[in-house]
Amino acid sequence: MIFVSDFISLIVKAFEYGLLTKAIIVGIAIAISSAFLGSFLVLKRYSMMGDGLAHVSFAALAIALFFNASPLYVSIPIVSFAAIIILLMNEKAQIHGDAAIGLISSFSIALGTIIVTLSTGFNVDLFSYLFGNILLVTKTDMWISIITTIVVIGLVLIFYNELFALTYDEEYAKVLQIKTKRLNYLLAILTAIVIVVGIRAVGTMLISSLIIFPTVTAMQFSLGFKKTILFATIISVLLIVIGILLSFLLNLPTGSTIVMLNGILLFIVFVSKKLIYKKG
Amino acid sequence: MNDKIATIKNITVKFGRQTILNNISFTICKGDYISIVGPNGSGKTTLIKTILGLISPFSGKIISDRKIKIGYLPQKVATQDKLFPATSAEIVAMGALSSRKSPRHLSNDDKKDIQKLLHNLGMEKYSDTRVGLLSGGQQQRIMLARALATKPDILILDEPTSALDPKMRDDFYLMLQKLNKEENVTIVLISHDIASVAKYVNKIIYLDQKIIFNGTLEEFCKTSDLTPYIHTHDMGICYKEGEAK
Repeated sequence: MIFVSDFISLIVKAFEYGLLTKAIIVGIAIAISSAFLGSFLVLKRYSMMGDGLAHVSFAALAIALFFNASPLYVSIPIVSFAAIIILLMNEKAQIHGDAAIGLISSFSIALGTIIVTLSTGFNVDLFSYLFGNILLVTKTDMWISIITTIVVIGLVLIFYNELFALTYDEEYAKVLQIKTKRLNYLLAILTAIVIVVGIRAVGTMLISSLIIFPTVTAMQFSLGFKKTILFATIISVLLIVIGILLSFLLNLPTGSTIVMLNGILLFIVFVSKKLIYKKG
Repeated sequence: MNDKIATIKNITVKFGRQTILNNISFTICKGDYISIVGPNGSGKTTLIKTILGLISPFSGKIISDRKIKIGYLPQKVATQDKLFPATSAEIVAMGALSSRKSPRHLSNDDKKDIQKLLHNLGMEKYSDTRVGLLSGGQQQRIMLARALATKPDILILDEPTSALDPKMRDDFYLMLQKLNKEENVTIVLISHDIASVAKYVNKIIYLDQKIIFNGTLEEFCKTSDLTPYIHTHDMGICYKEGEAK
């Protein structure tokens, strides 16, 4: 019991010093925006778009650090541009989505690595971007995360019906004369922004997991689309908050702790579902 | 029957140098129940996709004196993905989006109409069921409800029974026949199997890149010069069981 009360007092102190408050707020914001988009991306089989764009953000980050510019302001336009290029490759050059993502992703990693090799002196910063360090977020990061989340929620709610049609059956959406191209670009740019902002929490290497895991877990329950988004959001928020607190208490890397928790929950849900079906 | 909804005029579709459809012309009138039949690769789906505006023709046009609303039931339905988290009501609601302007929000009346459609097709109790959990026949009813939710001038169905067993297939065709006769819904039905649809429809268009025949079943069977162009087993529809061919 002493062990638990020590942990609680440590967390209380951390909140008092403001160390965890910003991290938790940023975490919740990223959890909501990534889960909101996740349902559309996973079901459109664009899951790896997040991963590819995260790699682009590595190159963007290297460029920003090379020119001593703000990583966020450099990354958002570059990653958004990359998202558009992926879609254009798909549409105009008829290169399949996964191949287009792979091409852009590997090119970006190569570019980022060359820039890193040509420069010296920012290896520490780069490491925190690769694996995230949510405890180091600034007030500006916090506000950007909140604004991003409000924009994502707002746009998804406004275009919900059209996004749903696009995700379920793009050809049918075209028959309904829904502007599918525009919606695809909207989705890609929103993903790019969420990726860039979310990298602060879990890093370049793990950000796509925040888009994929909560949605895949929520999909295991036989719910409708709206409820799946809601459920994925709840799962994402809970696990990010628990992950931040656990990583703080046990001195573990935050991003990895959040991803591990997501993985464990998906495993439990998946196995339980199989067992229930077997019994039924 | 002469109230024209759309005229398909001299439609030619090419993919690269290959001609898929050659100079296709026919008229769709109110209350028609047309079946477009023909062997695999005859251009049936291409023709439908051209009418739907998904494919631009090389030449020719579709003429109508009004904006026509089309309810479409595609050949492959996305519900083949069993895990896709969408309920029957959510799927049917997609159809109702056709009459809305972007960002296409649905009214309470739309939602009531969706429930009514589900009720009419005997699917009301599955309204909140994930569509991937339904049987093939039930899923097809949901897709039909989605197509009807557009309140269509023309209902177009592309091989709607390909995943159904013969009993389900006949039930489905009977349901379509009822819609056509009782509610005067105009239907264009694509099938590769003339035998399964001929008894339900009032017009047959036999397609094999060009129109080989356009008329009633009776006319089809009386037109003796069709034989060289039509697959032998398709002509079987004109003979009663046991009758010499």
